[in-house]
Amino acid sequence: MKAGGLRIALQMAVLAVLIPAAGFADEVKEKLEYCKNCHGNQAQGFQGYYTAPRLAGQPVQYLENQFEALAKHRRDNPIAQQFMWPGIEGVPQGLRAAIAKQFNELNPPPADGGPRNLVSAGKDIYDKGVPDENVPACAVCHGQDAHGNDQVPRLAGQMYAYTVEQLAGWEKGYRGKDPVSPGETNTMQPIAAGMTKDQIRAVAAYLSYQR
Amino acid sequence: MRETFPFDRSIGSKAEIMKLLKSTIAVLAMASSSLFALSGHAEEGHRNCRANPGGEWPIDPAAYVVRNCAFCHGPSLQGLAVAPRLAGQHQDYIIYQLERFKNQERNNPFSLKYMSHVAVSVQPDSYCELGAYISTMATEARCDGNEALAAKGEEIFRHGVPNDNIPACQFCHGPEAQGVGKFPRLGGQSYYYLKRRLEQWVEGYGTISPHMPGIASKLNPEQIDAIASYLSFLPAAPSPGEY
Repeated sequence: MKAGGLRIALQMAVLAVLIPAAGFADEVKEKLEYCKNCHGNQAQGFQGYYTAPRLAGQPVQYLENQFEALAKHRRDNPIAQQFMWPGIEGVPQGLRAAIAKQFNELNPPPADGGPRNLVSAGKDIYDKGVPDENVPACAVCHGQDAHGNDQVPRLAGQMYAYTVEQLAGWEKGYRGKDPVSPGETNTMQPIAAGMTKDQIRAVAAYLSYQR
Repeated sequence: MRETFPFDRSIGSKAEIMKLLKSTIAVLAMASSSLFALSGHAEEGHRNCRANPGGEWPIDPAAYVVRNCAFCHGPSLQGLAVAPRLAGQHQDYIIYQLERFKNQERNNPFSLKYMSHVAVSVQPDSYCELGAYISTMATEARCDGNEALAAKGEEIFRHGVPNDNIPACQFCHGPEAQGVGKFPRLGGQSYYYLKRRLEQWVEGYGTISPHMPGIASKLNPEQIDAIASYLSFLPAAPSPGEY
């Protein structure tokens, strides 16, 4: 009798651990599918009426920082407001680390490309910067392979239109507003300001094809 | 005496072998074209109007449309009964659907009964010009939904329902449901048509959109009613047309 009772108790304990775990995994999976509606079925990015950036292969720290910036409404460009603010509200705090990890592990090929004729000029800027404008080589922070790390985003395979929008839009002050380390997170402001529209398009085109 | 190929004595005459070869090639061709469609690379087999805008089709598209489409789709293609409004719809979308009707991938009952036969007789050479002409036709909002539900429909259209994992329709269809490229203009379309389409995505017909079945499966009837109502009142808004 006692042994039977103990066994049942043990089984209940195991189930109590497993069922929530199974429930959590399901929740993460469903939430991921939700994100993929706009970000692409492999998070490679997607072009609807609007452009959703590639999230696949992004460093976990970068994604978590973006979740935070969006949830706290620091990242406030008009598209973020329309889509990401409601979107993030549907991603409970407890799911975010797991979701960031899932995105990080995806590795699809680049979704679409920018103008091919700009790629070699773009690679030049990526590797060497624009010294006359004090624009450092992107590779210095984003990596030779443009895979980023920690809080520095991956750029390889990013949607062309998105990269152009971000670089050209930096002057509008929508990004880089982390109150804890404003200097660090707004590193890009003078860099984006030092690039011409043509240079921005070239770099974006180059990056859109990188794996 | 019957000739046989040395490698297979069970096949009979040369004629039989040729027949086998022809049907194998036909099957391979069909398989590869449907693989194309399934893999999402349908664009490659699909008419590329930017690369090849046409201009050689001898028939005036305005006259063609009156003679062949208005009978079901209404005067000026504003829509009639179950046939949706086509006026103002995007060239890419029109062409993509003509192809889907023709190959019967779009195979719900009305499509099979009417459009699959019609689509067979629309010449592929005409697609670009027909699509371009239809996209320039003026549209009128059908306004046949339930006004009381429009506000709720707008909320879902703009922001989705994040807690139920329903994405925002406007992400693909545009802020005024004007659509772009293969994403159809929904603004001003008939409530009845939109409602039926939303219901149809989960009824197991051919998957002509990789996205819509999953999204529609999460909508309950009240939400469908609300979205379709809201959309039916939207006036035509400009669209970039193509990306």
